[in-house]
Amino acid sequence: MKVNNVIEDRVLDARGLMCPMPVVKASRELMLMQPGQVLKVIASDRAARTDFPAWVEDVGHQLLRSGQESNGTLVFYVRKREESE
Amino acid sequence: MIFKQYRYEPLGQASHLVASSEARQGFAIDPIADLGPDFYLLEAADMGVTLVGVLETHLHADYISCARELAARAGVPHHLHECAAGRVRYQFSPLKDGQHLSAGKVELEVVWTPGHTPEHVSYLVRDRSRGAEPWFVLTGDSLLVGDVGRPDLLLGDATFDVMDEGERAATLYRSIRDRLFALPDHVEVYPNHFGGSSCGGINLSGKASSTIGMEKLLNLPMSQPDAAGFASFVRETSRPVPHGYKTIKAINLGLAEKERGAPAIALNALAVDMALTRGAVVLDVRPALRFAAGHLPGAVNLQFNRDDLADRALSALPQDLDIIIHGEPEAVAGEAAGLLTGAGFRVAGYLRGGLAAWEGAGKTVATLRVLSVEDLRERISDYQVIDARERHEYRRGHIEGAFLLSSTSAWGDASSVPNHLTLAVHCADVARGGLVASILTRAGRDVSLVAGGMNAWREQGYPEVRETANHG
Repeated sequence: MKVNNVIEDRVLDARGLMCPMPVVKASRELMLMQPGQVLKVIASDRAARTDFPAWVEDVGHQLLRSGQESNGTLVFYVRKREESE
Repeated sequence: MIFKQYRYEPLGQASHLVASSEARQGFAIDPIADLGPDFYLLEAADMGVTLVGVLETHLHADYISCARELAARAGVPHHLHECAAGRVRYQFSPLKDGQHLSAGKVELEVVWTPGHTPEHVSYLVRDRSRGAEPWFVLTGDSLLVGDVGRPDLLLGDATFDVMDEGERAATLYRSIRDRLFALPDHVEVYPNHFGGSSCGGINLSGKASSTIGMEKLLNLPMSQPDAAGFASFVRETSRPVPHGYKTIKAINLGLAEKERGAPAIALNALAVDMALTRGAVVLDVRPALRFAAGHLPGAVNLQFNRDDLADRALSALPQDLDIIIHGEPEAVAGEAAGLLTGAGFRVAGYLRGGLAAWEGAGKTVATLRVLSVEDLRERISDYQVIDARERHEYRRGHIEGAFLLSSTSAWGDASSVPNHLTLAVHCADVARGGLVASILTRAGRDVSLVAGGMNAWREQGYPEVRETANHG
């Protein structure tokens, strides 16, 4: 799936998970990925809208794009930071 | 005609019993191990019905079937569609599309409806003592109420999965359109799933029955213009995959044995009390505010959620505890025990009869004070505020003077909390607050739980402290 020419390398479906599991699981996924790779995260929790970008900023990854689909689910594209950062 | 629908709420699963009231013979369809073979045998015996066959609509991936055991115990055939041959590792009685099975004048017609799985069938039921017109159809995981069965639970092994996800979706679309929607509108629909089941999508109704006419009018996936639109709609509206579905499916295929450990044991209050004196820990999986209103002394509160209970337990608690589950209703406690055992925790059993049984046995019930954000704001100087969220949430805005004790580190770090008379614990809402408050209570602290948490604090427009992010 392409979004603004961004192609994800992995997808994390975090719908239905309670806090703080979406972030814990995203962190775990990113740990297994290479720097520069993109993780797509799908979430249903409304708190994720502000929470997730805050976490991405906090740990130094890059939020490429976020959005909400017509059925209410939230989608985030996160690029893993370089090791040196 | 005798017809029973057994709704197992914790998994949103429905099994059925169809029998002739004259011949006193009948069929059990899609029996679930959580209820167990005894349940179906006793149900049949209560109605004076002799089982003449155990049927499955398909090989399930979200719950463990007890069809084999039930068929063996009743001494009757276990029926599956013929294309399950070569995939399951046990004997069964194969069914062909269009075949009829009878119990007196009650007749079941096999309708092959592949898609959710290749061997999926529906059973169209007639009561010939009334007439030849079909009355209802057991649709398994093909057509659900408001939704359809997900086509993506693949084992990833070509021996067991003869179609990929896209092919399965297209096949499911055709099965429903050409076979089920070809039935008269008055035919009732009884699916295998309802409510929160993860075998359906977000449009799955909590009601466990419908009619062909109703679903032709209002079923959202089937309202898509074509098979491709159907496939993408189903993909976009699916729920997270069921926990441990590959293991469950492997068990149902006869490739693996049921859990290595013993099933969860129901313990009475006396047995729980004895286990507690030996150092066991009660894990209370009820919502935080119900926990606060009354719980077993020393209990740890971790609210049940099927999709991530095991993960949250792993992130918050050590695995070497002897755990006793307190959940209500008890079916939830049983399911929680299964999920935690599967994640490697030692679960000794669960409290039978819940808090009422504990209280009835004359045991002490503990409570946790609950504060509103208004209470907290008014008397903020009386409390040390404990923030149970994660660091990134704390940085984005917290109550002045709040001490960060994340739910994921509270078990190990409880002793790091400043020594202050009363602790007021909050999170974004209340679930993680309940966990951290219960851990601090165990550590001997005087604790209150703030209901509504940071969300309620912000709604009131109360002040908060922000930090700027510190990269790297």
